[in-house]
Amino acid sequence: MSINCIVVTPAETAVETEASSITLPLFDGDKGVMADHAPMIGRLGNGELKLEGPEGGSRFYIEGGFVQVLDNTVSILTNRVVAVEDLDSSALAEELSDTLAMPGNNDEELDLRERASDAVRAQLRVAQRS
Amino acid sequence: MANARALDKRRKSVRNIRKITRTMELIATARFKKAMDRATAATSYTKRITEVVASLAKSGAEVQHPLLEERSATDNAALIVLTSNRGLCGGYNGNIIRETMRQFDSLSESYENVKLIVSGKRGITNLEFRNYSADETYTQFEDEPLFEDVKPIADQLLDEFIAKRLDRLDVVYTKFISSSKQVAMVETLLPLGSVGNADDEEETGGIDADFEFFPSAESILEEVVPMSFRINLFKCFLDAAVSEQIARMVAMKSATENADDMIRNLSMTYNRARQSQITGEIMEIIGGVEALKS
Repeated sequence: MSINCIVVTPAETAVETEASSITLPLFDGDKGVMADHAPMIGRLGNGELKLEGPEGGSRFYIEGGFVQVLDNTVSILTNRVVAVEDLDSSALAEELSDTLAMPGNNDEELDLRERASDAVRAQLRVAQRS
Repeated sequence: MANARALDKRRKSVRNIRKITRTMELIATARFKKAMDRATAATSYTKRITEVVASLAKSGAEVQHPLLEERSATDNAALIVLTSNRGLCGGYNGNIIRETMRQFDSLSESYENVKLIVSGKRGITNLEFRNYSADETYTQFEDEPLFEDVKPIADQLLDEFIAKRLDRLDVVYTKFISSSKQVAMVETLLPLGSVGNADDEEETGGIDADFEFFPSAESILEEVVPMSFRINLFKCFLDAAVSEQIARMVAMKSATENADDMIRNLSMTYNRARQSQITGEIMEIIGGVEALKS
């Protein structure tokens, strides 16, 4: 029994594939989905999406959004999706120091800086895990 | 009678222009196809987000969000104008600018401050010429607007709206209805009238499942609503890009046809002029011969 997994970003349908198990980065931790999962809608965080299929697995970094599980179809709506192989740890480390150097003079700027650095940290974590 | 050589020169230059307009037409056609593909790719996201909203509504979640509330305050409004960076696309920019002036004037009547945000060089210069000064301008959007580029603009507007520094947001753009019909129109994006499209909701209303929500329906709604606004704005940019290419395609097609007509007319006058020149020369020779005979 396999699950149909669709990852869409505002610009395109990035991934459409069959998988036997899926690990999703929900906002507060990872969640696994296998065949015949109960209908679910969840809020996603920044992190790693793991797909395990018959012909090996694939891994992606996704940035926020939602997931809908219904009838063995997992629809993932996210802002950005990148294959883990395309993440470059050294470039990300540089980006992290850039985002940390952003101004933080008021609440809004602090919030912005935190959001940006969170996203980069999550990417870095995913890239280093491989 | 006109000079045959001058006519030939003119015909040559018309031919050159025809070559250019024909090439531009072909390029616009190719770009239109690409832009169209991108626009269709983006609809799958909209469709799914409407599905999620429909499921949320079914679960009985209170659809309440600051972005959905109608504001009674009439202090600040903003108007986004989407024009092209390049010209030679018929009435595309003209229609937008006419619509912009009308909307800007009517907004100025009811709102104290109206901020004008213009994207596209054509709109910026044209509105400046008409004494409408833009508060913010963007020129980075070509025929392939990226979501990453639209998102910061959307986020900034969202922040302003939530902080009550903005009470209404309108967009003037060319809506793509079909490949033979595009209309310059004004759309109010903030406050959001409803999340997603009403027509789509009916279609997807068939989902009848008890969803589990992580963490809760309300929390998901909090995230869906701003996302829905971002995607709406992005769709406006995509529509504008597609419409621009169509407008250019049509304009260049008629320019090519006009050049064809002109070449035909010029050829005819040129042939006539050449013939009468030859006749004149023959008459001169005969005249000379006759003069020598006598």
